[in-house]
Amino acid sequence: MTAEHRPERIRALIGEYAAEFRKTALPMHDGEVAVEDVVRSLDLELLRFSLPQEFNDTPLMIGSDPLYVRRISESVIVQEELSWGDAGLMLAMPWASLAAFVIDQMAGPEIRESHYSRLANNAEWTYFAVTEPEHGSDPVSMETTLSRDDEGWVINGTKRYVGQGHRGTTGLVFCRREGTSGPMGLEVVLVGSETAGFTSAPLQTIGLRGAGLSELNYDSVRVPDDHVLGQQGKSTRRGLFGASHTFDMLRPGVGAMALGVARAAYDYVRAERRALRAEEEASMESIRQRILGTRSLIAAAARAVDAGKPSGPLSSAAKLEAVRLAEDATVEALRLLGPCARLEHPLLDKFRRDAQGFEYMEGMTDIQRQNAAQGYLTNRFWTAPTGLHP
Amino acid sequence: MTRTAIPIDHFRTSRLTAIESGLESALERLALEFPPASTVGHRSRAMLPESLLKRVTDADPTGAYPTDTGELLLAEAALGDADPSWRLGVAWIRIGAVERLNRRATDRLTRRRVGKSATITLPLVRATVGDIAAWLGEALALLEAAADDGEPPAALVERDIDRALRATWKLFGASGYIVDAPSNLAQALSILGEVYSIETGGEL
Repeated sequence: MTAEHRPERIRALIGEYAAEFRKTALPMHDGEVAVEDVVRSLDLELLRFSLPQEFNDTPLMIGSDPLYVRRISESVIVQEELSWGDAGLMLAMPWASLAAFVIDQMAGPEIRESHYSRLANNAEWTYFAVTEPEHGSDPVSMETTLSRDDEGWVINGTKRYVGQGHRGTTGLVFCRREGTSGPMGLEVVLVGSETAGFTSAPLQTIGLRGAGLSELNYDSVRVPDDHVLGQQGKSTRRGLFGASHTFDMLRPGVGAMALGVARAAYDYVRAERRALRAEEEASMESIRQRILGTRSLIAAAARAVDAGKPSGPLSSAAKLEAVRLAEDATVEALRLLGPCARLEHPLLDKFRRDAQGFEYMEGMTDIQRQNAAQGYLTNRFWTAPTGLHP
Repeated sequence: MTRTAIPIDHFRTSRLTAIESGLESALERLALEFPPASTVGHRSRAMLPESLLKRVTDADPTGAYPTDTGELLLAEAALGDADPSWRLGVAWIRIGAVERLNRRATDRLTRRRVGKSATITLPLVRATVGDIAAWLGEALALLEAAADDGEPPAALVERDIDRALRATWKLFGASGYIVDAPSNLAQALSILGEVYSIETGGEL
């Protein structure tokens, strides 16, 4: 397969799976079928799409070429396409987890080997717990503590709005080392869900129901030494670094999912409204152009990550524009289908509800605006690999 | 299409009721000046408190939408023809209910802190509240002016209310995405706007 046509071929292959995703989108949203059952019915090759090559003996195939989706610039294509089908199911896929990125970045080889070996053989979920009920994801105010006594490390605290938290067999928890303050006292800890003192409960959301948002409680949960990640590294490259670096890497993916939903709403209107007034056609054309623009911005942010020079501000801008587009496209689609559209077009109503959810992933719009501004003002917006650095 | 003549003070009072007492009480107050048939909206649908819904249909509800103060029921009703005056009254009420939701959001942000600062003091948060105030202000001003000038610019009024609703909803952060009192009220307001929209665009 030539590099030149690779993105188009990935898009075409995943597009076929996306059409399958669409078939269960409404039944899963309405609770008529269980998320876990839908996930287990998916092809193993698709479920494993993001696993490293050494842990994946059944990769997706493009012709005779195996496809291991390890680059962000390819991952965003997969995420956009699958989210066009059903963003909820995209988020329900066990291995498309934030936790995997932190494991790759911060865990030692033994933990990484153990983590991926287990996932390769079982459809298990993992989670990534940052947000707290009273402080959101503000690292300075984080209250979940990691303390040490004679027997080892202990976690106490509560996390909320954690994707796949109640389904996860393991997860990464961001904690504050007891007695510290400020962002440098944070640690990221791998916790098994069978550990005594850990409890979880699902939260009912208005959309993106496959995401499985949950509340997690850690009541004197004990963890072994090597589950506190990044201890061999510098203190500045541990807990908060893990979170912020992961967010920088993952924001293009969240943007891609929002873009997929925007495209789904656009295509829905095109299918339902054969004739449009001039004003309506102009509005649709504006949405179409923004889809292309947002996709380009996401691709630029993803290329920077793949080149090892991620631009947090550019990733923020990509997520910002995609979330705005998803909101505008779904709101406009409802308008174009007239009064009672939410009642008469339940799939479009679901797209609208799903689009709302991206606002809360990896930082809200105001955070992204501030990140983009800060990067732009300090000449860190365009990193060299984007080809756009002045 | 029936158009019931309503003094503007009745609309004003209905909005204030929505702010202070919630959607159900406001719709019940608004309905005092309307015949039952006027309370049916687009596509022969009615979204009302149970006490009002009984006046227009015996059909089983097709949906129930909890709010922060009770519940609105959705049903199909053969009777009725989407009286423009009733739909205008619902626009007034939706403004009041968004203001009610906004009070709840800003109270919460006054209690929450980012570092040592109350969240409500953050410039970007205050800017959002300013946007909401401007959109609601414009919608109200247009509805007030319509009392003298006739029809309000429907698309603009609806857009203002919907933008204010969406921005207010976001002020709740991730908690607004969980099924709970604020998201229930916001969701009900969104559907109410569809059933009784004063804008009537759509299929050619």
